[in-house]
Amino acid sequence: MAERKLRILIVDDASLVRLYYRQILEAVGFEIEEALNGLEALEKLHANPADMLIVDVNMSQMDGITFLSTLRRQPLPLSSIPALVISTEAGAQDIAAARAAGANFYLVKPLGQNILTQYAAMFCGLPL
Amino acid sequence: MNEFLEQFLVEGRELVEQATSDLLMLERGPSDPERLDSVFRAFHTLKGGAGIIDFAPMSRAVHAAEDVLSAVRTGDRPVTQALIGDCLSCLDQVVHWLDTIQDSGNLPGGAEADADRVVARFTTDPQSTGNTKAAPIATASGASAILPARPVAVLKEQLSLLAAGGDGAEGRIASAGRLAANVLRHMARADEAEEVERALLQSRTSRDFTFLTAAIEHAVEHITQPMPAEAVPAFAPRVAAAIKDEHARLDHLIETLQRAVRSLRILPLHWSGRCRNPTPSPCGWSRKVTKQKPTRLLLRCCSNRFCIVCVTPWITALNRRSSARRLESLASPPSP
Repeated sequence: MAERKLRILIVDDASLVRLYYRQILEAVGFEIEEALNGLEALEKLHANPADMLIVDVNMSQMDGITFLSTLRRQPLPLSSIPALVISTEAGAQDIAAARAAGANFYLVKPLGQNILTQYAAMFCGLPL
Repeated sequence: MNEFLEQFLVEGRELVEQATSDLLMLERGPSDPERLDSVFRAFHTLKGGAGIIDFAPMSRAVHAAEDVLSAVRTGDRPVTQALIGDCLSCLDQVVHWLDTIQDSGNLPGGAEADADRVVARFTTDPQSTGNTKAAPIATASGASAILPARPVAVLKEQLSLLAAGGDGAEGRIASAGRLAANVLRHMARADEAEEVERALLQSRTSRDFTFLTAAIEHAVEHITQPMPAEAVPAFAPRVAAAIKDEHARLDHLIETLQRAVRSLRILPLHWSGRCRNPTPSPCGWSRKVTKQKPTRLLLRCCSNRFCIVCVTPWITALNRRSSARRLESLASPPSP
């Protein structure tokens, strides 16, 4: 039986960013789902949970911080999905806010292909 | 024109249109926070897109405008006609760049100078707070692309996440444990990953995250402070003596090693060796000793006359801190 592909949900309102992540991660075998904001992400996760989340901060309707804070209050196992925040904001207060909301790690945009792939593999427990 | 560039142009024009509309509305109603958020996001996304496509001058110019809008959002700057005008000028410049990119696939010559002029408008504003950060940002092909991922930093961040507290404690604990275990598996540290998962279960059952914290701290300690390989024989003299005996029987050696490993409570213990046996047959034999779970022992030999001459042992982790003291005591010469 074929192994299930690991699924990553990208939550970002910028279509270009989503396309960039998708192309990199699909090329190494991940299944990619997209959401334009936190609300859409919650809906999609309830329907089909992911193995990892890549979350932007500044989004309309529901930003990344509110999304993560809401997600962590959901029942298990939904609330346990590891979340990598990737934002252009690099201030200490931005990182602290993401951590307080339940982000597992924080990176500053833009990211190179290799580093994005490495973090995805790490978050999903794939070997080096 | 590639897919990225096409997408960038489509999105860029939409964002310029959105931002222009928002700025004009903001001019009429400067205290509208939703409008302010919207225009900020448009500039923010425009900057991010330019960064991905590697159009640094555009990214730099839009970044300057975004910073000023950020100051407005936090109440550090008022919305003024001049500010609106500067932002609109920035967007005009962006449109000019988008047109050029559409025609030629690249930014026009002199884009850096144009970006400098845009940035200067924001930084020389008499009402500026002086905190505009218009430095070039790294791009997808820049320095960030070659930095390695940092598993230990991710593990340590899970400790910070656990310590931060706040709402959603159960989800926070579960995600930190799940990710820590994944990171350890990623690093081929399956035993420590299982230990973290056991601790996670314990933390969830008891609603006490200190079990998980201890397990992650333990793993970090092992990763960051590996025991030097050359120290192992000194710490475990009985093991060292056994493996140096070229003519030792395999079962005797395993028994000796098992006993020593059990007493040392080493988790896990990996041994590998280079066999100098002259037989042409390959060293294809290996054995796992799992009697004393989770002790694991890997040995190789070529024949019944077991032969390990050059052995490089190393310990990747210790079961508990106290084990190190135990090892040291074993390494001490016996009392007369």
